[in-house]
Amino acid sequence: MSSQSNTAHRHAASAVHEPSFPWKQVIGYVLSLLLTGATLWCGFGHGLHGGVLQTTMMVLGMLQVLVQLLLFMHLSEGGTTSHIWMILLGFFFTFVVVAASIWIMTFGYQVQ
Amino acid sequence: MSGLNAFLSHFFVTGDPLIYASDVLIVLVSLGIIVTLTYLKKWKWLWREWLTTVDHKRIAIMYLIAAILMLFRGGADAELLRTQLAVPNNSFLTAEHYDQIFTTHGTIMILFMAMPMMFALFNAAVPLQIGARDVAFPYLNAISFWLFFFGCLLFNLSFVIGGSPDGGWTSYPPLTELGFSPGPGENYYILGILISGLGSTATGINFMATILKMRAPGMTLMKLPLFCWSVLSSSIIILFAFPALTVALALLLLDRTMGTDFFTILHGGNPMQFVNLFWVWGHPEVYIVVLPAFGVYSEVVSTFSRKTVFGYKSMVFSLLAITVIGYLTWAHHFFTMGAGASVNTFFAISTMCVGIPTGVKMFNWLFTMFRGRIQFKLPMLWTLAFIPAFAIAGATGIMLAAAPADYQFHNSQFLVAHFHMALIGGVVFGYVAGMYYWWPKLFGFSLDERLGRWAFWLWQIGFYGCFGPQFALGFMGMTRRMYTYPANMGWNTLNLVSTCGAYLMGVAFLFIGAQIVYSILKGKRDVTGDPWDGRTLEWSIPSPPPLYNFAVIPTVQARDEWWRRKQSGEAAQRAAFPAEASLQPIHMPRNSSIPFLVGLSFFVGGFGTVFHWYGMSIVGGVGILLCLLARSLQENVDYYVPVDEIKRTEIHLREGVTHGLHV
Ligand code: HEM
Ligand SMILES: [Cu+2]
Repeated sequence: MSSQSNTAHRHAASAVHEPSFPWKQVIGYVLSLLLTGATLWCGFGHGLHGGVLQTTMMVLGMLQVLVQLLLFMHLSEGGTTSHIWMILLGFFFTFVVVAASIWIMTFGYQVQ
Repeated sequence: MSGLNAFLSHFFVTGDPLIYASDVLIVLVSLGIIVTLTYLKKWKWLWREWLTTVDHKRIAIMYLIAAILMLFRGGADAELLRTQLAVPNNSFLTAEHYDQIFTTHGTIMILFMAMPMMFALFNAAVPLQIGARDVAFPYLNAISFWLFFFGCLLFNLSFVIGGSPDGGWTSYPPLTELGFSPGPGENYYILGILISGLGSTATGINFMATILKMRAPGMTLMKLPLFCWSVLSSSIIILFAFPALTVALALLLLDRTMGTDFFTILHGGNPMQFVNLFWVWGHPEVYIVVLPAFGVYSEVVSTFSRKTVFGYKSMVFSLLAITVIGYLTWAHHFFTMGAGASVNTFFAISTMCVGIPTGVKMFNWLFTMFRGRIQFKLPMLWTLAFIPAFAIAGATGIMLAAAPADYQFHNSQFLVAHFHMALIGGVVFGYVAGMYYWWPKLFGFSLDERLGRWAFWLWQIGFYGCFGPQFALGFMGMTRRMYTYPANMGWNTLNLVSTCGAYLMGVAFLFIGAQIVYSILKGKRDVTGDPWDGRTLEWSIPSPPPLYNFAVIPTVQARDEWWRRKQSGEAAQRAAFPAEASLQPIHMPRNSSIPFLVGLSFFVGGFGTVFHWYGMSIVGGVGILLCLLARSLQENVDYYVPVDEIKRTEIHLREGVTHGLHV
């Protein structure tokens, strides 16, 4: 998508020189698949339980976020201030949704 | 034979005269369209110029047409609901039919009327206001439109094929789990919204990139027109809110089709989690649709008061504040569902906080009008009408936000009146104002003022007549989603008045329709490109603008750049031909049939999934993959408009202007 917009509107995106083969994306793709598979295995394979299971899944999820940000979203290339604001906002909203949802749901409605 | 009959009567909705009448109408209208297109030999034209287009202006027009049609359908639904409630013990609709109609009414109005109308305004105005030739990702823009279109089509089909959803537009489980809603209706709801929601998310990304990256040289963020700021805020919220809806609906779909238990209590699922996720999206959605309306008000107020907007920086800051704080309020939709006092307190206070930046904007608009030379044109009328309506919506909203009081108002007609004040008074008024404002730019002719004024006044009377009494009805104990009521409750007169108001609004809508048809035939042609004496860049080019918008990309020096140029005399050049030496070949994206085919594949897959015909789902899925593959391998995606052609186009576009000058 981005290469298309680059050609159609060259003043739009900073001209990134595409390498001949997108190794980064392929590695990212394989890593995403592995991490997803591992999470699924944790959920279905009955090896882990309780807090250990939850922590492992959380860590795998965070690694997944890093893969997306570093390998697909060019986070490491730095950018304008608006990029940094957007990323911070993204983290803020993610934190709010997760933390507040846990907080809202702590009223013991869950049928065990 | 009897097997086939049984299948057909299960497949098509039968037994209701209203639906038979609609069947006949649908078939007649479709035949009419097909015959007309064939007779006029317009199929090729339709395909080449419209269905495959990637031009943001044409996409805007297609969104607008779809939104007006959906306003009609949602409005017809509303009239049916109000007809049923006009008198006590009415049996015009059955309970089930009433449920289906309020569900489709709410869903259509928010997702298939307000959203596309908003996207129509995004597409119509943003690239022109920032001096760009298109959006950042034109091809993705077309995909977004077709995903919306086919999602909407799928949802609307439920009406005649299979049966409509009846679980409310919020679609809470366990009611919407397979056990309680076994028919295809709920599947239609989920898939229609999932498909169009993907398109909306992409549009959010697209316009964020467009505004951040495609501004004309010199246009710093602090020179950005306020409408574009509002679009940027709305896009940010789309990007962070829509995924929650997508996830919630996807999990519900898994529950219904794959037998998972995310929201069924039986195996440890939790229906409250759906309610939570739904409103993580649902509340910000209100800001998604209202912020662009605020943007329109800012443009309109400043243009028709002939002043720059008062307090530009505080306007921007308020928009951003609403964007962030608006996100922290979602639990006010389920104050009564069991969360603790501290949770309710937090969300009550955060909700009330949103009122502060909104108040700032209100005062800024008023100060802009203060001592301005106000012109009461149609866009300005709708803007003025917004102020009292939204003040009422705000005041009643604060009442609802007080958690203890909400235990009284919860799910009453008071709530129905409140959110219609906000959604119609805030959102629809703004989009109608925006439609009137940019119509001449998009189409090259103006909408008739006289018919528009009739529509405006009828709408205003109908609006307060319809929703005013409902505040009282709420206090008197009439609840929401109640399909009939006994005669001895003291609700009869108020309900009758409310229904009459709804009819008046219906008549007003017909006036808008008449206005559009009349103006297409007889509307005044806009030869100047600047019919309102506007202030921002979109008014600096002819209307309708050429394919590439700006022959030469403008360099911006001021917030109201076009106004500055008019004041300093530079604008006179516009009527003349752009300096020849400054013309260069223009790089443009090519039209493509793939976005339409992507939408169609989603439609086929979605329809299969609605009826659990998984073979068909797979066909749709393969279609999507083939489209992705085809696009990846495509090389010829763009072209140059040669200087000669630009010259010819610009001369042609300016012929009207020169005539105007000499005659
Ligand atoms: C022509 C003007 C309109 C009229 C007369 C009208 C009337 C109604 C009525 C009678 C109901 C059902 C109330 C109940 O029984 O609980 C309703 C529900 C609703 N309306 Fe409207 N409406 C109008 C316009 C709109 C617009 C423009 C929007 C949104 C942009 C909207 C959004 C909703 C929603 C979200 C619901 C709740 C549906 C549910 O309970 O699931 N309405 N409306
Ligand atoms: Cu809310």
